Amino acid sequence: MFDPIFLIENSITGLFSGGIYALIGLGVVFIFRATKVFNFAHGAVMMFGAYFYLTFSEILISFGSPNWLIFLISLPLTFTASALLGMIIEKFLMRPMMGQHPFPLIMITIGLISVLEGAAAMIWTPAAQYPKPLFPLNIDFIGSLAINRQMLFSFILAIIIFLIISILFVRSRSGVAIRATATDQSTAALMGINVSGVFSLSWIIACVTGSLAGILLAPLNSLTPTLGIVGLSVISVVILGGLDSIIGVLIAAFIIGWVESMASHFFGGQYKEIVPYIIVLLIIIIKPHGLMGTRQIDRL
Amino acid sequence: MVFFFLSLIGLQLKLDNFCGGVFLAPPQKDRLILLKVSNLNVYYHRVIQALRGVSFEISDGEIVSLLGSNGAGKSTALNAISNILSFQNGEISEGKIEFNGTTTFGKSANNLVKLGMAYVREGRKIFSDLTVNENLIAASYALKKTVKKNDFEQVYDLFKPLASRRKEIAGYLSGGEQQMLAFGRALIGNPKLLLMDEPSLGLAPVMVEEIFNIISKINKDLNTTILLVEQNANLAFKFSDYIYIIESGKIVIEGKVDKLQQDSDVQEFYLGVGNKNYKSYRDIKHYKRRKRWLS
Repeated sequence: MFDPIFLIENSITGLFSGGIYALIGLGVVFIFRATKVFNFAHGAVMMFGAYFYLTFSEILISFGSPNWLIFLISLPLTFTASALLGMIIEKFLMRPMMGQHPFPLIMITIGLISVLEGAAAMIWTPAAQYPKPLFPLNIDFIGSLAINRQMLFSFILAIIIFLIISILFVRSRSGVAIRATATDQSTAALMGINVSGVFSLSWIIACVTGSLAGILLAPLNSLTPTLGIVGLSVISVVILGGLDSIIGVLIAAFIIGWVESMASHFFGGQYKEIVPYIIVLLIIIIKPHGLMGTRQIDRL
Repeated sequence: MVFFFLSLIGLQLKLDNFCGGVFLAPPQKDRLILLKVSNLNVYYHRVIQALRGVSFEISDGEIVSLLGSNGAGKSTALNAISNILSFQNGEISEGKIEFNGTTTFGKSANNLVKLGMAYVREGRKIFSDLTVNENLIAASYALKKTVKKNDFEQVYDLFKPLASRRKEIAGYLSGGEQQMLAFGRALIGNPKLLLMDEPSLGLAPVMVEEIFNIISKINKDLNTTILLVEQNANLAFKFSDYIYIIESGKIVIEGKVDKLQQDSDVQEFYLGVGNKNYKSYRDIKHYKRRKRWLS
């Protein structure tokens, strides 16, 4: 049980899944910052993205395309489809409620989970499926330490995308527009910023990063309509990070990933989903606004 | 018989008011009318009427002030012109607003900005967690094709204190500097019309003087038309060309500054320089009655 090799291995696994949590959490934070809505359906959106990828890659495989061509074509198609999904959700579910209190919108996102899960079960059947992984499943040994190469590469890709998006958020003009809208919608409109355009943009970014996370996550677990359950861990990540802080999400994702992995190591897999919430509760008692969150924002 | 006389007296009063006051003076404006608001009615939450048939117009290159006390509907008028009432659950039920010859209805607030309307809101409303420079970037976001680097420099030239603090978080600026930033944000796209809601709010008297000097400088140098909303009547009279006084959602008095300044009632009730000693309500009744006839 306390074998150091196992401990290190599990820590590494935990940190790797933390990287993917960070990518998922980024989408939630983006939508929260721009629209003040906590998107509970983000896990379901991620699951949909994975199914899009499954569909496109299966079609290409049936044509007998080489590996590189499959990725080259199916990934952009998946991102486009996810962006469309995000636009549709924003345009038809969120925008009619614009200007209302965020709470009904949060309820809509909860309802959206069931809708998306049901739709996925109808379209792709509830049976577990295995999409083609982006990176081959190889185990490397460093000494007697086993490292899953698939997880390592997924982790690296997730972190790279996370960093690119967060740097754009801080540096680019669109990032400034999103942050300005987050501060004050009507003043942002008076500055010439298209507020509903910004909402659309943040949903698109969230859905595209979410679908990438889904593509990375699906081969590690298996793809079923309930893949979005991972979203539950991400809720704890985002709350711990402080809801509106991108750096906070990154730190919190590593903490939660590691704690989950340690919990399943010491207490068994069934405790994996409980322990993160215990940590979140403890930290929220000490720091009610999360690790890096803004103080004055509404709590859920 | 008594009623007949009373009504005659009433008629006489009405005629007196029309002939004797500044009210009849037709606006002698030969310049292009930039903004024309006619018979504007605005409701909040569909029940609270904030404006009751307000009409006014602004010619190109003027500074026009909208004076009035709290809750008179000054800010509502500006919000209606810039089309952000929907954010406050407000609605225009009747009336027309024409900006530069075309109606503003159906154009969203961000599109009006592109047409050359800028609005400095009450309480400054800067983006407090963005830096000074990012505030300006946000303001130029929609105008990226027309705004060039020297537009930023022009703003920093006009507001020297901002130039040295451009990388700082805007929330840490002093009140006057925040007001300057709010001005700078509005000026970055060289607007034709600048709406300003109480620029003197919460500033030290020295700062207020400076801000108003900047306003008249903007008006002269950049030929920007300015619609100013103020509670501070003395300031408004000092700096503007034409004044509208608004009360309970209606325009009650309007006129050129020099004419209004000589009007004893305006002096008494808005400028606080009247030297009459009123002892009871009866003494000021004539003024109330006059406003009623007008509105």
